[in-house]
Amino acid sequence: MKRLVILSCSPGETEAMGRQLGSILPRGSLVALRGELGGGKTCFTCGIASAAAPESAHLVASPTFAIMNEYPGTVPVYHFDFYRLSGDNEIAELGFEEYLQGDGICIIEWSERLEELLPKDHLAVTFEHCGDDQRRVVFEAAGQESEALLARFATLAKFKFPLT
Amino acid sequence: MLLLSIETSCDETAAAVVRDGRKMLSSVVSSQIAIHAEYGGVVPEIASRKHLEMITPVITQALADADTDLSALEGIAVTRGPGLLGALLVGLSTAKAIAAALGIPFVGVHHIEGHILAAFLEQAVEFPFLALVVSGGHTHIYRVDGFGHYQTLGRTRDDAAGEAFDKSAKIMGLEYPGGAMIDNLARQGDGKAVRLPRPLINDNSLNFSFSGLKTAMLQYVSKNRDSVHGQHLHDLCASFQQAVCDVLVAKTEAALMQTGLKRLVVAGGVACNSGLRLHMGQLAGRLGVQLHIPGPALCGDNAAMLAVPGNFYLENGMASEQCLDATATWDMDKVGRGSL
Repeated sequence: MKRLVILSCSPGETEAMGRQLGSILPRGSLVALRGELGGGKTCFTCGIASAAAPESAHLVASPTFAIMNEYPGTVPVYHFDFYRLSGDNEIAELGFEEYLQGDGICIIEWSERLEELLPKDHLAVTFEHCGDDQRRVVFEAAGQESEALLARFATLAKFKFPLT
Repeated sequence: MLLLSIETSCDETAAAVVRDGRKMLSSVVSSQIAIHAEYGGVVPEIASRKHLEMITPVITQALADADTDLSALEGIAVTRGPGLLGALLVGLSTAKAIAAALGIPFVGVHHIEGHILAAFLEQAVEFPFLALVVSGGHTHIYRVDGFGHYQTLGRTRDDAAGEAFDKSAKIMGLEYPGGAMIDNLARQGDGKAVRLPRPLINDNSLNFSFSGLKTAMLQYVSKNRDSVHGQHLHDLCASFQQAVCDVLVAKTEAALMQTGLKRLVVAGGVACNSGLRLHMGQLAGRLGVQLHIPGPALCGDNAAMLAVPGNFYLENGMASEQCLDATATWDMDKVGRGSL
C-alpha cells in the first residue's frame, strides 16, 4: 500500500494512531512527519513512543530547541525536529545519519527540510488542518518495506478510525 | 577554587571564570561577542563545527575579561549533558584537555542543574527550594534539596513555554527574537481581551502542555488575520502572555502547597519575561515565599552557572575521570548519585 488517508477528530485520536503505528514499527525504521504548526506531530510521536518505548513515554516532548530527544527503551526512539534548521549541510553535520543505521526508530518532525537526505525506504506522514480539532492525516509509503508496513497498519487502523 | 566553566550543549558556546562557585569574574556567550558575526549571526550553533570555531576565542576572552590566565585555574566545570552529542563533545573534550595539561581536576555537570543554581552567583539562596525552569527546551518543576539532589515534580508533555512564545510570535508574524517581542507588545495590551485556553490548569498533576495554546493562537490568527495589528496585536500578545503566566503560576503554587517549601527559584530564558517576573513576585508575596530569579544575563544559556555545582563537586572530591562520556539524555533525578 502506497497511500492511506485518515481523519483525526482530536489530539487523543492522533495519539492513538501513533500508538497503533508504534506497535508494529520495526527497529531501524524512519517516520518522516510533515505539516504546519499545531498539526499534531509531537502528539503522534507521543503515541509511537508509548508503544515502542513505554518506559520513556513520560519523557516525550517537543524537540524543537534540543533538535533531538532520545527515549531509551526496548526499542529506543530518536525524536528529531528540524524546525530550526535551514539546510542539508547543517543537518548532515548533526551526525543524524548515524542514528538511521541504529537499533531504534527515528521520527523526524519538519522532515520537509531534509527531503534529499531521507533514505529511499521510509514512511511519510503529513498533517493537514481541516477545522478546529480535525486533521487530515496522510500516510505515504516509499519503498517495499514501508509499503508492507503501511498495509499492515491499514488493517489495524481500519476498525479504529474513520477512513476518508 | 578558581574555576573555568564551559558550556556547549545547545545554541551557545560559552565560557566563564568564577571564584568559589559564587563570584563571577567573567562570562562570555558567543552570540554576544563581535567575532560571532563573522560566522553568521543568530544561526543556532547546533553543529559541532560551529562550537569548534568558537570555543578557543570564547575561552580566551573569558580568561582576559577575568584578568587571569590558564596557569591560575584550579578546576574546570563543563556541561556533560543533556544535549547533542557532537556539540557536548566539543566542550567536554576541551575541558579534559585543559585539565590534563594543567594537572587540575574537572567535573561534568547537568545543564539544568546550572540553570537552577545560577541565582547563587547573585544572591544567597538556601536549600531546600522549589525550582521552576522555563526556557525554549524546558518547562520543569523540581524539588531541590541540595547540590546534586533534584526531584522532578512536573514537566511539559509537549511544547516548552519558550517554544510556545517563539512559535506564537511566528504565527503573529513577529520578528526574531519572538519571546522578547511578545513581552514588549504585551506591555500596552489588555490580557483579558482575547479568550485563550489554559491547558491542564485544573488537572491534578504538576505537568504542563502548551501545544493546545499554540494551536488556539493559530486558529485565532487565521480567523482574524486582517485585524491582528495595532492595539489588537498588543491585546493578543498580552492575552497570550497572561495565559502562559496563569498556567506557570497555578502549577508553581500547587507545587509549593504540595511540598510545603518556602523558597522558590525561577530560572531559564523565559524567566527574563517581565510578565512572568511580575506574576511570580505576586505569588511569592501572597504565599509568603522567598523568591529568587537571576538577572537576565544569567537566565539564558551561559557557562558561569555551571561553576556553582562544579565548585561544590570539586571541593567535595567528586571530580570526573578522564574517561567521562557526554550524554544526550540525563535524568535530573539521577544527577549526583554516582553517575558523575
